[in-house]
Amino acid sequence: MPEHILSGIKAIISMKLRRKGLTQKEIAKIIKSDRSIVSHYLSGRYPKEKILRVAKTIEEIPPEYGARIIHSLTEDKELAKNLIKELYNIKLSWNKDSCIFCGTCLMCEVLTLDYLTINIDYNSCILCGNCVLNCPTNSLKFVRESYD
Amino acid sequence: MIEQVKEVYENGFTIYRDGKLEKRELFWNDEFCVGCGICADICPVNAIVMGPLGAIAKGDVVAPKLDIDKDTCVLCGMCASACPFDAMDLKINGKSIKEDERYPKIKRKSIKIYQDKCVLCRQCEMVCPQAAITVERSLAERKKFVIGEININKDKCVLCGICAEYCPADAIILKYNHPSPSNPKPVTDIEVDRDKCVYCKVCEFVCPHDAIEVICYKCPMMKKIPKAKLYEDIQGKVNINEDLCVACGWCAFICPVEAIEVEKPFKGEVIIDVDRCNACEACVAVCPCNALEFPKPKDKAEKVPRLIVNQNLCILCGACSKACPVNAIKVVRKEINFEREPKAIAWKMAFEKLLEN
Repeated sequence: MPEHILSGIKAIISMKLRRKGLTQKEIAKIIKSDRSIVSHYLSGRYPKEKILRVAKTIEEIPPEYGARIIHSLTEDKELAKNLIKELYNIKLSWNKDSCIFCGTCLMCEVLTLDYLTINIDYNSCILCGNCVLNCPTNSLKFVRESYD
Repeated sequence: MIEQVKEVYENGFTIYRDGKLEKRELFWNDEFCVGCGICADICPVNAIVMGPLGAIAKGDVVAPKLDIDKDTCVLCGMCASACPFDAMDLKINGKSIKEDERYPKIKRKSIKIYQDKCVLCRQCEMVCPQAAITVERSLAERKKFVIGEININKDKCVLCGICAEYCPADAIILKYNHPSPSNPKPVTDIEVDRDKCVYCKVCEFVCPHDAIEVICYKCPMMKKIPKAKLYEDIQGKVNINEDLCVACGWCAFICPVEAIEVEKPFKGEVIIDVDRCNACEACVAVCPCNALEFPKPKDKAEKVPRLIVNQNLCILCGACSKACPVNAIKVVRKEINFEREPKAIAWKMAFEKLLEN
């Protein structure tokens, strides 16, 4: 089952990326699948409608929850990160005005506290959403990235 | 989320979180806590619950004044930074946030003694509600200022004790004896305590047997007797126990020579709704400054207000208002006296919550 849902998510992402003009080869690299599977996804032959429905529901829920589901579907953290990024088009953002510097988020090595600034290492962030869910003041959030 | 661990002691607890980058420890000490509830007011996650303060202060219940839920607490340190009594502290990697310039600090225990102005009157020691002040004072011997001679002629003296009864300085001591066949006399001797005698001659005047002779040298030797000088003949020092001090300012308020300066944590006022008060005395018991009082009428017919507050002695901690079961006391804080202002915006907003509540 988890594999099927993962395929559903990959299919939705493949369609999104194709619309953006990426080639099947480029898409295959991002979703870590075979080019032939990407072609299945794009032609609509696979996966089944009911699986796509689950995947679409995951797309609709708030990204911090969706991110947790996607991370639970695969061990491959890099793949999960790619999928979350492409599905929701989000990145982690920190609000300096509401942060109380409690240090709860510092359990993740992506985040570091420098005087009164939380620095985010976007390259190592796998968008797991733990910090977002644990932040007591909602100062860490997933925000939609602009399309430019 | 890294698990937070709580260790409870007899008079307090510690909550700590041991992360990769930082170790945070929050300390709370019941001894210094007065139950003002400022920590609970400022806590951004509502992790602090106050105990039954009135009953605890009156001694009806033995319970901790507050409790912090270890899983709700995020160890941000706002409570520690706002506590006016140093009952809390947050240490990040072993360093207290009180010493960390990133964190704000409310002026607390801010008391200054100007020893050069102090006249060693000891009145501050008498009024301090927390017994945080002690005044050491040692005086030069009385002999230096009181000179004379006294002599009791034992041949004339009948040991009647009239002189001792008159003596205003209680300097004449009779040696009493339980009369017995071997020693039948009830009084065996008379003595003068030369440390107490001021050579006033009263004994000489009242002795019906002319047995006492006193010579006073105070007047003829007026010029030779020194005038006592502070910090020469009268030595002393004021000691403050900063752990106990709550900066109520009572000492500074009554000091006759302005030798004490106290800066309080807040500015504002306490408003009492006398009609609501049912005189349960919880506020009086909880107040760390003894600033509240139920005035007692001088005679039965006199009408006095049920409860009064001396604003000069109050530090606006709000303990009374938290302990009052009928909301008869309102503490209105207008300004916070910071030693270090909060820098982060969220912290500024949090401290503003303490004002005008």
